[in-house]
Parts: sequence; C-alpha cells; structure tokens
Amino acid sequence: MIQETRAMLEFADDPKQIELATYRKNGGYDAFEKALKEMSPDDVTQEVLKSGLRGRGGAGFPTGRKWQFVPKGNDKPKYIAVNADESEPGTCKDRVIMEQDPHQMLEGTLLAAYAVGATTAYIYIRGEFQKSIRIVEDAIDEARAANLIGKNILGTDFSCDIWVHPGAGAYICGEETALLTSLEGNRGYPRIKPPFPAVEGLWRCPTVVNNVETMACVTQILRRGGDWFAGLGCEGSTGTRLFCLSGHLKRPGVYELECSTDFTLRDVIEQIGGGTLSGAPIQGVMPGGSSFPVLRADELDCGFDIESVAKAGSSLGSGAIMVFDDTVNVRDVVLNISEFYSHESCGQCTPCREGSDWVRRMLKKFQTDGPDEGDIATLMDVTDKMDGTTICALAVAIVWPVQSFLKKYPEAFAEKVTA
Amino acid sequence: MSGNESKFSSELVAKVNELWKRYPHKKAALIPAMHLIQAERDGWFSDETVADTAALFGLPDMHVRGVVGFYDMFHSEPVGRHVVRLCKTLSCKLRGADGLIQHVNERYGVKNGETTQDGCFTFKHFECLGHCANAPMMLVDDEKHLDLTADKLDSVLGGLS
Amino acid sequence: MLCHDSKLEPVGVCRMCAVEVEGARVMAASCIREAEAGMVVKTASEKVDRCRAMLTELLLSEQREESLKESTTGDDELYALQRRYDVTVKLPQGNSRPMDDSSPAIAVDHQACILCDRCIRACDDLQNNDVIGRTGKGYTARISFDLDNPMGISTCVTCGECVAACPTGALLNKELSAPMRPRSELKAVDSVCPYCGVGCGLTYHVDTEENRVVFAEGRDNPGSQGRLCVKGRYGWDYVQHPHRLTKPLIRVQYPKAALSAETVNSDRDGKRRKPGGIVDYEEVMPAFREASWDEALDLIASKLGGIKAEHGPGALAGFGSAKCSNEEAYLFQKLIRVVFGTNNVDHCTRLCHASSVAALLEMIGSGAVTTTYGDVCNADVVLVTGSNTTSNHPVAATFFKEAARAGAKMIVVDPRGSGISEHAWRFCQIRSGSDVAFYNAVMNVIIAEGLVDEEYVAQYTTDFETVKETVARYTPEFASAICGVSAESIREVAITYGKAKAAVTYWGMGMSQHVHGTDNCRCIISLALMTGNMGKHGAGLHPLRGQNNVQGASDAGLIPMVYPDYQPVGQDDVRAKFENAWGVALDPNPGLTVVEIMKAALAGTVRGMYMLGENPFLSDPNTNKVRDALTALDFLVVQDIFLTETAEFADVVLPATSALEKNGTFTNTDRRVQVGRQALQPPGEARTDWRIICDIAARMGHPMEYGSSADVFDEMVSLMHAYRGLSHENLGATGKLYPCPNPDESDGTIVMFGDGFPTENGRARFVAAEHTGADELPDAEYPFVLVTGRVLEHWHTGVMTRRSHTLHAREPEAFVEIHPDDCTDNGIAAGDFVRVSSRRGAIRLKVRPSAACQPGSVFIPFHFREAGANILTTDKLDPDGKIPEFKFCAVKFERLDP
Repeated sequence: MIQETRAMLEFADDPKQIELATYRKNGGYDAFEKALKEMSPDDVTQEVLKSGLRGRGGAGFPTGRKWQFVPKGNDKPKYIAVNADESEPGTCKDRVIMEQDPHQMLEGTLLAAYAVGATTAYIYIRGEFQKSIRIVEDAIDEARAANLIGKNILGTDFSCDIWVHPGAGAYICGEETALLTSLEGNRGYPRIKPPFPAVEGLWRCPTVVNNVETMACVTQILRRGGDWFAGLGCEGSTGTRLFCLSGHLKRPGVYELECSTDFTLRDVIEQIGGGTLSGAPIQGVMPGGSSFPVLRADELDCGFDIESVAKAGSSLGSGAIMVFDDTVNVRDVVLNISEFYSHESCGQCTPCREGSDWVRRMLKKFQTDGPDEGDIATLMDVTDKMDGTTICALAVAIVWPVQSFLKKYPEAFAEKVTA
Repeated sequence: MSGNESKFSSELVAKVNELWKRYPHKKAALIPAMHLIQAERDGWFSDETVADTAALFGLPDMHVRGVVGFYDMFHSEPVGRHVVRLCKTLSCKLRGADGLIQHVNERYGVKNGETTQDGCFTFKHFECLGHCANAPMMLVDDEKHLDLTADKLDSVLGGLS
Repeated sequence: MLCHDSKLEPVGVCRMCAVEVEGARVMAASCIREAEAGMVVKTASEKVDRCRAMLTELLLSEQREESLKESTTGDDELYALQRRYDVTVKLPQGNSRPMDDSSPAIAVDHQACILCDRCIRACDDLQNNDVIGRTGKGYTARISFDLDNPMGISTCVTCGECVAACPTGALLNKELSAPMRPRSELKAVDSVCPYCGVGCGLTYHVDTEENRVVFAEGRDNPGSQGRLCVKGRYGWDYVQHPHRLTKPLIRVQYPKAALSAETVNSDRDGKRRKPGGIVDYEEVMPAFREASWDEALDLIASKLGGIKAEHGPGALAGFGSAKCSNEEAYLFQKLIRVVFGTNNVDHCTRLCHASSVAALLEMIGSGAVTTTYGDVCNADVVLVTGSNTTSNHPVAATFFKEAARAGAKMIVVDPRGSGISEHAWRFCQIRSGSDVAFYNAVMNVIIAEGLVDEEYVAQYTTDFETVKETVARYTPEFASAICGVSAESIREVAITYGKAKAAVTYWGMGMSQHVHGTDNCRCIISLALMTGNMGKHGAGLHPLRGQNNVQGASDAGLIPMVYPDYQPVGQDDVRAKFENAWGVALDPNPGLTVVEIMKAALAGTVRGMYMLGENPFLSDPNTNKVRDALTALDFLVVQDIFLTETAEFADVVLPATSALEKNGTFTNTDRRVQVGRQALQPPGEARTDWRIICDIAARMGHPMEYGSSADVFDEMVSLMHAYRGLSHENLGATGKLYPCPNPDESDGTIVMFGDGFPTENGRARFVAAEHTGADELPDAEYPFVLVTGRVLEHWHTGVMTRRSHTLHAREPEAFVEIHPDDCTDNGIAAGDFVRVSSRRGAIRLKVRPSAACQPGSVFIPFHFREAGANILTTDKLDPDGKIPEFKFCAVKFERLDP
C-alpha cells in the first residue's frame, strides 16, 4: 500500500500548530535562526539547489535557480511575493498549509528573503480565503512580536517585513506576473516575459514569486537538509508533495506523498483515493489541475512522477488529481472546464480573449446540439492558433484539455449527420 | 488640496493609512482597501463609492472602475444582506453542484447574480473556491460550508436574516 | 500591427505581430520582444501567416456586417489585414455590443472594438487625461470612460486623440461637414491649427469637390508631436458656416448704433430672447446693403482719407489681429504707418501679454520665450503660474502633465484651481492679486537659504541688490498674511525651486492681466535669474502666448511703439532704416494702445478706424464704454469672416478669409514659425486679408504690390534680424524655431541666452517690485472678486467657436463659477440664474458651483455675448504694459427668479 510521508503536514492535525509557541516547540524557526546566524545567503540557496526542489505552483521550475536569477549588487530593493492565490480547479493544498501550519510558510518566506536579500515579502492570498487571511495575519503578528519579522531580526543585520495582501477573485492573478500587476493595485494583467520577475517584478524591482507549498518545502529543506529532501521521491520529483484528490472518489482529500516510478497514477487513485465512490468505472482523470490534457482510464498506468505523467501526455501540474467516472457526460465536463477558463481570461490579449469564449460557445453548442460537420476541425484549428500566441499560459490551459477531450473521446463528439 | 476631506469613516481612513505604510506606492493598497470600502458601503461599489475611492487614492475614476469590473469579489450592483457564493467548477460539479444550483433557483427563486425578494441574500455562481476535496461547497459571506447537501444548504440559508 | 502605434509604448496585446523564435515553444510579439544576439527569428512562415489569419478571423467574427470606418474613410486596419491574409470569415458571429453616440464629435462602437489599447494609451499616456480605461474581464472586457459612463457625459475633453489612434471603427469621427469619403480620395493639406499659441501641426483632409474639410488630424512636428485638442481637431467647421460674409457691406442705417439686442444692452433681466449664440443676422443685416469691392474700397479711401486730411493722421487708428498671419500683421502695420501716417496700431497682445513683454524687454532685452513648452521634459521643477493650461494651452498642458507624471515637481500658483493644478506636486492657491507678495517671499527664502546662484548673478546680471533689498521685508509670514498661502508652504516651494537643477516657469494671463501685471512678471523673471535658471535645458521663462500668432504679430510690429522686431519708433537710426525701406517719412511718436485708442475715440481724437479681425466690443474691458467709443467713431471699417458684435458699429464691412483659405506663416508661443497652407477656396467674393490691405493702400495712393504672401514674408524678414534666413520654402513642413540662421541644417534654437542677453551690456537687469494690489478691491457693496478667463472649447469672443458644432455642443452658454460655500450662503443652486453686477454694468447668467474658485471669488469666461464678462471689468491699466486688469474687479451677485 502507498503511504503518506508527512513532513509538511507532520503537525498539521494539531490545532495549536498555528500558534507560534507550538510551532517553535516543534522545531519551528530553528532553521531560520540557524541560517541567519550560521549560514550565508548563498548557503541557503545552495541547500535549496541541492534538494532538487521544483516549484509547487504548477510549472515546476527549480526554485534555487529562480532565486539565482535575482541580480546581485543591484541597489534596487528586492521583494518576495508568495503566491497564495490558489485557484486552479482541483487544487486545495496551499490553503491547508496556511490554515493549519502558517508559520511553516512564513519561515520559508523569511529564508527565501534572506537568500535573495529581500526586505519585504507579500503573501498574496486569494480574497475568498478569509480564514487563511486571518490565520496568516495572526501568525505574522505573533512572529513580528517575537522579532522574527521586522527590523534587525533576532539581533542580526537582517530585516524583513511580511504583509498579507488579499486578492479579490481573479484566477489569472495566480499567474506570477499577473499577481504582481494585481499587487501593484491594477487589473490583474499578465506581463510579457522577458523580463522575468526575478529581474523586474514589483515596481520594476527584482522579485521572487514562490508558491505557498514551495515555501513550506524550503522550511523543510533547511530544517532537515537538502540531502534529506533529495532522498525522498524520485529523480526530477524530489521531496514530498501535497496532492489534492477530488471528484468522484471515495476518499477525496489532501495527501502528502512522495513521487515514485515504483507505483502508478492508478495506484494512487485507488489506494489513496479509494477508487470511485459509486463503484462505477473511471472515465477520465485530470492529473494536475484542469489545465492539462485529460487521461483516459486506460492511460493511468504511468509512473507517479513528473516525468512519467508527462510521457503519458499530461502533467502533474499543481498536484490536483481530479477523477470522473462514466456516469458523467464528457461533453459536460469539457464545457465546464471551458467555462472556467473563458470566465477567467483576463481579456488583455486577442487570442485568449476572443478564442476562449469562442471555444466555450462552440462547446456549449456541442453539448446542446452536437457538432455540425466541420466544427471539430474548426475547433481544433482555432485552438491550435491560440497555443503559443498569447502573453501568458491561460490560453493553453483551455487549449490542452479541450483538444485532449476531442481526441480522446471521439464518440462523445460524433458530428451530426447532415441530411 | 483644500476642502478635500475623505468621505469615508475615520476608522476606515485610519486603516487605509496603515495599509499605505506597507507599500512603496499607495496604489498597491487599493485592492486591500477596496475590501474595507465595499464593506462600509453596503457591499457594493456605486459610482459615488468608486469616485470617493479614486479621490482617496488620487487615481483616475476609470482605474477604480476598471478594478471593480475585473475582480469577482467586487460588486458593481447592489447586493443583499448576505452574499452566497456557490462553487460550480469541476470538482464541485462532479459532486452535485448543478443540483444545488437548481435547488436554490427553485427554492429561493434566485438565479445567478440575483437577490432574494426580501433582500436577504444575493446568489452567485462562483468559479473554483479552492475546497475541491470537500465538494460541493459554498461561501456565505466569509464563512465556508463544505461537503454540501441540499439539506445542509437549506439549514445554512434558512438561518440567515 | 493592430496594437502598435509608433507614438505609444508597445504593449504586445493584439499578438498580430507574433513571430517564430527558434528554440522557443511560444511565439513572440515582435513589437515588444527585444532582439538578442544569436536569436533566430522567422517573421514570415506558414505558421506565422496562419496564426495571423486566424486572429484576424476571430476579430472579424465580432465585427458588424459592415465596418463603419471601412464604409467611410476606408482605412480600417483590421480589414486591411483581412485583405492581406485573404481571410474569409467562417466563424459564427459573436455577440452584439452597443453603440455609444453620446459625444458630439465621436461615435463609440463597442462592437468594432478589438481592445488593442491604443485609445487608452492615447488618452492616458499622450494626452494624460486618464478618461479611458477598461472594465469587465475576458470576453466581456470593454473600454470604458471614467465610471463606465457614456463618453458624452464623462470627463472626456473630446481631444480626439483616441479616434486618431483607433485602428478600427470603434472610435470614429462623426460627420461634421461633408460625407466621409475614402482617405485616398481626399486631399491632405498640411497646416497649422488656427486657435491658440501652441500652434499644433495638423493636416486637413479636404473634399475638394465639395470644398469642405472632412476631418483633421494631428501632424508630427517637433513641438506638438501630433497631438491636438478639441478645438484643433473638431473646431474647423466654422469656416463652412452659412453666416460667412461673402460680399462687402455698406451701412444704410444711420445714426449709428448697436443693432442686436445683446449688443444694445446685455443687462436684460427677464427679457432673454434666444439662449446663447451668435449675432442674429436677421436682426442686423437690414442695417447694411451689399456692395461691390470697388464701391466699398472707394468709400473707405475717401472717408479715411478725409479724416486724415481734416484731423491729421493721429485721428486714424488700426487694430490688427493676432489671428492673421505674420505677412498680414506686417502689411497692416505698414499700411497704418506708411499710408495712414500714424503709429496708432495695436492688437490683442495688449490684452494678453503686454505686461509680460514689457517686463521681459526691460529685464532681459527680449520679449519672446527663452525655451519651449516641450523643454519641460528636461526640468526637475516646473512652475506654472496664472495659467489654466489645460483649457487655454491644452496640448502644451499634455507635456506638463507628462513631465509631472515622470517625476518633475510641478508647482502651480494660481488663485483658481484648474485642470493643471490637479497634476501639481504643490498647488499654492494664492489670493487674487497677491502674486508679488508671494514671489517676493519665495525670493526672500531663496536668499535666506543661500540658494542664490551667486556665480550666475555675478556673471550675467546687474542690480541684484535692489531686489535683495526689496524682498528682505517679504518674509514668508508677512507674505502669508497677504496671499493666504501658509509660510510653511512658501518655504517648501521656495526651497524646492531654489534647489532645482533646472526649473522652468510657464505663465499665463493670471500673471499679466493686472494693473500690477508687469510687476508680477518682474518677480518671476528675478526668481529665474537669481537661481541661474536661464540658458540651459529645462530652465527659463515662457509666457504662454494666447493667439495662434500673437508672437508673430508682435514680432511683425503690430505694436504702437515698435516697428518689426521690436525696433523702437522713437529711435532715429531705426526710423531712418524703415523710412528708407518703405520710402516715406514716418511718425516719430509712439502710437496709442488698444484701450487708449478706445478712450481716444470716446474723446473724439481718434475718428476713423480700420479693424482687421478684432472684436473689441466683447474683448476689451468695460463694454459700456467701448459701445460709446465705437458709436462715436466717424468711420469704422471692419474686416472679418463673420458679422461680429463690433461690425454692428461699422460703416463698411469687408468679407475676409479664414486661416484655412490662405497661405501664410504663423509664429507660435515657442517662436516656431510655421506655414499655414490653403485648404479651401474662400466663399463668394471674400478676399485674402493681405490683398485687402494692399487694395486699401492702393486706393489711398500708396500701391503695395506683392505676388504672394511668400514675397511679403521676404520683405518682412529683410527688416527683422530675429527671422534672418527664413523663407516660406525653407520653413518646410514643420517650421523653424527662430532664431534660425541656418534653416537648411537646423530646426532652430530651443534655449536662448546661454551666454548673456541682448541688452546693451549683455546682462540681464533685476527690477524689484512692491506689492500694490488690485485697482478695485471688494467692499460692502461689491463684496466679490471677479476673475475672467476662458474655457477649453471657446476662443475669445466666440465668433469662430460658437459656430462650430462640437465646440458649441460641449459648452453652449454663459455661466459663472461660484464657490459652493458662497452658493449655499446666498441660497443659490446649480443652474440658477444670477445677476452679476459691478460699478460698470450687469449681466445675467447661469450658476455653476465650483470648488475651483476661492470663496469670495467668482469666475466668468468672456466668450459669451449674451452675458459679456467685460461689461463688468475695469479699464484701469498697468502703467508699463498698458494692459487692463481683466483678472480683478469687485462685483456682487443676486439670484434671479426663474
């Protein structure tokens, strides 16, 4: 049987873990204190590089390398922005950290700030997470009172402030550049890269944007060592990860797992998720949030790691595994997905603004009337052109799942025979 | 400028002043401040509230209006005493969100975006609210209600005043 | 391609210019992606073309069946892409989106909008108006105005920069004149805006068959950079108004008197005839009959000749116009001096910057600006004082706002808040008439803080001690009691200005139109001199000139005491030079100024007048006196394009041509000499002004013959050192900033006086000024201060602008701005009518509460004949500049029953 490996969630079930005293009693902030007093900023980065940590927001970029992009010897202020705008459908893990072990994220944030020389960090929490906002703000207050945040932390030269910044309900603000635009007080429009945020982010200053879980991992890495982290999971997918199992499962939930090539995605769905609630056969799985291609029931025997799922034609993305059984019409599923992304398109650039809604309208028609002759080809053609022509990746988040549904469930999208 | 006192409560202005200290530019506090402003102004942004907000921040009206129009949590129409946001995205859909929506339509006579006749609550379909493992779910104002059923929903909505 | 505009920052949102970059999964927007060494880019490939075609098709599927731009001017850039990529729209049509028809000049078709962002950048970044934004999200995103209002009720100033930027039919010029034919069928005429001194370059697109302008566009030149305001872009249709004069008129109704009710008496409580407007031709025309040119010219020659013979040359006088060209100004003053034999020639410079020029000539030896409005971008401190720039010099204001946005500290000093003060770093709202006290205190602080540029003062100036001595008494505390600005603010502003690396000063008539106008200007000149803010980029002095050619008309000698190029008539060698050039003996005595001429007419010493394009009935102070003066003249010739209020008093009215109907040069506030080119044929028998001047000269026995206005220019330049080297030909499309001795190689001189001044000793001279205050202070009977001025949409006496559809629609009637507190105290609400009176008269007009005014002060624009502000103003003059005090007199107001 696959078992959870609880590192980040080790103390998450203790309701007192959100309090500083309990967190400290459980070893919290020791790693930060040690880093401050015994390690150079570069040592911290090296430890993270050694761990093989890849960002937990969905794109999986190596965290240590991201930090290294921050220019050194630049007199501009540097910032950390923690991406807590958790909005990818199926994803509900960052909230667990914030609501059950907020200091773990704060400690990671402080470590990141120390590593890159940032003096201010903003935790951009989606506005709907009022509970998370309250808990994190309380945690910050406690930490500030204990001189873990603020000026001359623990008597050292290092100063760093942390503030919660609530969002207001826009999925796109989880895109790192849109998050920055939004944080500056604007409509959340993604920015054209390059320049990347690590070079030009908030107020055109170097800014590291990391996901909440990534920050929690940083804490674990500095607490237990980069080697320890690298020894968990498998190559390319080191450490533990939080996976969110949802949909037609017997045991939906957030689980901390190691990736492995020794067991399969199907094993996780069955052993951790408990298989389908109704007992009906699985029809399909979105293994990494809804923005990646769907896997059919016969495609689930791939290894449970980033590489293997990619080889199977999808992605582990944000770790959101959504399962649907054969009681649901895939036309409804893909329409629901397209409704999400067309609603969440920011509207800035043409292919996404026009294309995403056009796709939604087409899929609505497919759902109610079925496709006319040529419609499928047109839809494939339009989505092809949306791929790779936009400012950010939201357009491909509608293109990939939609194209995959059309390809993988041809029977559900059989064209009407015109008389 | 003379005679340009804020139209907001002194408590709110004090809070906004605190927010401003967190950022190198005042504008960054806009969205956090707008949450406070919306709460003080009956839960929505009238033209007047937009203009007052713009004046407080020294921003063009169109900027604040554009921010209201971009973010789902800001309302440009009056809302009821409570705002009920029911998640309709995939994980919730797979576990019965459609049925709950229909239930609310029929039982309370409100569709997406509408307010009950007694002004008790405004009903909104929302995209993913981030509790996919406890689907379906809804937010009533700031409180979340998980693993929802029609009965559970009724007991929550029935308790609103 | 759709979102790109070379004037705007690239944003890369339309994605139409996406190209393939080798090794990258995604395509890059070539408008914004910087090329890197070793990058391999495919700008044309099947993939690129297919993507562009698909984007075009997606966008087209949202368009109307027929593009409103394609079916009119035929230049819709989206449809051009459709043709280029041979796109057939197979996708189903999208949702319909609304049309917003609320603006008088601009149609907003949301259906045609492709969210390319150009209008937003044009509005926010170019014009710095911040009206257009976006609202909604994703597919529902749309452009919006202010609070998502219809454009026509938003704060949009209708500058049309958005229309110029829009690639599709989403923002369209409404048809103001002739049908909009395809651009390719219209004739493009490069010219200069006929309104204010900013002198924006523009292009008229003319339907030559219809002899009508169809639309106007900003044209790139080094000054205005293609920007326009509402007057330039939409205010040209007056030239096609049916009221245009097409034949000479001779008066038949005597004895002479004012003709229309508003001119007879503007104080007509309860007897309002028509709202607002223009001279009622049905009421006025019966007093005249049409005549041939020969008859009219003969009559003029005999009558004016008769007066000269009987009463001497001093009984004649002429008002030229700053709206006419340099050539016409030159010829007009030549006619008055050579043919009439007097120096009684002046024009409206007397009413706007005479005091500025007096102070500048006295202190630095030159009356023109020392740097351009565009040089503001090089300043770190910008002082804007007595200038409602956003209304009166709107395009210059866009550059000021841009500089402020870029971080320059803009200090606005003005009794009245205005559009520009909203962009100020500090706004010092001084009390009316307290300028000298305020600036003396600023200088006091600068001296006390040791911020004087001693080296500059020592090297380039004299008499600094006189100023130092005078301002010693003006401590900030002392001045604060006079001007109402806190001592602390005065200190802050003074220190900021004093520490600036480069500080530039722009001023308007808030400084000049006072009995102490020259003193006001002396102060800001001294301020610039003592801090060494001269002769370098981003520093200097710039009186913002009002009329399109007030700089040029002054340069050309339309001033009673000087010949062209400010050469004094009383100086023997100068006079000898002009006598030699013109072939006659000239009067050595300086002539009378505008207000003095009116007073002389009333006294019977001036008996005959020739008025070219001026309308003193509305523009001069104390209208009731002007009415009597005009009635008292024995003979008055008015030459204009419409029958003005002044023409009601004329014996002969001559039909002239508008700026769009002739060639000539105009010199803007920057000293940029530009060629205005003929776009239209004049109506009926209307003649070019300079030819009429020559016609009169010939009839009076002194033929002046020129082949073209270029010939006149050449003669003028030969007598003007400042204009040396210039000719119509080498002025080219964008003109030259004089002095420009090498026009083939240079655009001219931006910054003047880097190394001394055109004075006898090469140094500037400090002149001290004491605070004296206004002539007529408020008292128990007349407790309010009246400030007069202008609005964005109207030009001076409204003769042109009130005949323009858009300008009239935006600002149709007279109003008085009163502070909301004063409204409340007097039981007055917005829209009520009040009777405003002074010791000289009374008018009746609508109330507009406005916090821009200070309590105790009211503002009335002077454009409106039905409530002429100058009925109230005083004709007391500044002793040096001879400018009247339009900016201060005592009034009272009372509410009228509806």
